[in-house]
Amino acid sequence: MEYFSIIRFIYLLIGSVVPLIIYFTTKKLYRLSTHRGIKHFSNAFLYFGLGFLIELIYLGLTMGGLNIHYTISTSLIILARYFLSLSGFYLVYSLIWKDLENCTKKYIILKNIALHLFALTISIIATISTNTHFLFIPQLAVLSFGALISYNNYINLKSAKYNFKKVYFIVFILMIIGWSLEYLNTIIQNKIFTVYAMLIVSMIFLLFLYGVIRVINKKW
Amino acid sequence: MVKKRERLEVIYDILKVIANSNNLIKPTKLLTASNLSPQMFKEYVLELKEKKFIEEIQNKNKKTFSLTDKGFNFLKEYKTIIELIDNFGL
Repeated sequence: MEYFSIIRFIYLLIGSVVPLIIYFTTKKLYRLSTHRGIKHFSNAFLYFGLGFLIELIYLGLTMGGLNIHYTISTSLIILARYFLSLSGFYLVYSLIWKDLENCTKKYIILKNIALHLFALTISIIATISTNTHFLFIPQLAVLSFGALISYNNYINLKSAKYNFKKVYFIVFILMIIGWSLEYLNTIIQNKIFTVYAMLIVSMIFLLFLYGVIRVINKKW
Repeated sequence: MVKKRERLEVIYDILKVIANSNNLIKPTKLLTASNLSPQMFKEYVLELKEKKFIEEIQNKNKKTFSLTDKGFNFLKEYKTIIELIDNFGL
């Protein structure tokens, strides 16, 4: 079995399990608080988990030597890309929702539909045209915006005690690096970029998990 | 100038007052202790009843509020919720 496939399998397993743990942990707190920021943050990890799970299933099918019909493989790729795009959008949205949802419920629903439609559109276009610029450029733009917001949150932080905001900016930079390496791999076709990207993204999920568990397990 | 309370803080304050009153309090006493306008108080109580944080108990002609298990759970998890919001800038 190719070593790259084994590494990718482990990476997709981490990418499926860790975000879903974060999702179920934070969902419990959302159910109690109905705080929309927690909802968007929680959903971002649901979509991360689903996106990686679909990629894991796809890898499993191809590693198993199964001959997958073109329609099924294209649909799986579109679905995975849709969820992964959505996850990045909702992660950033969880930071800025207060400024965007100061309106009626109808417009909140429309804004959420717009996010889903945009994620689906870029996934379909990128997959059918085999041109990944349509996928990575919007994602990198959104993550860059997220990095700016998290940097602003960090410099406005007054407390000296531990706060994930001190790390969040670095996490966004790592996400940009990871996504850029994946993007480079699609252009230059060098697996080493993907290997580094996988290491960085795995680290990001573990950092988030650490941050959430630290908050949940704090003894009051 | 008094800082405007966030929604979760108001909910916490209301539930805390009920819990501290041996889990049984009349609406008028709760209104006074909640530090809200009658209109805002009505809206919050409606929300808390809909979300099953509190229940209304009718005893003869007297009406009282008490916390449900979900209400107690909210009080228990409140600091964790606030810490999550603060740590991740949500």
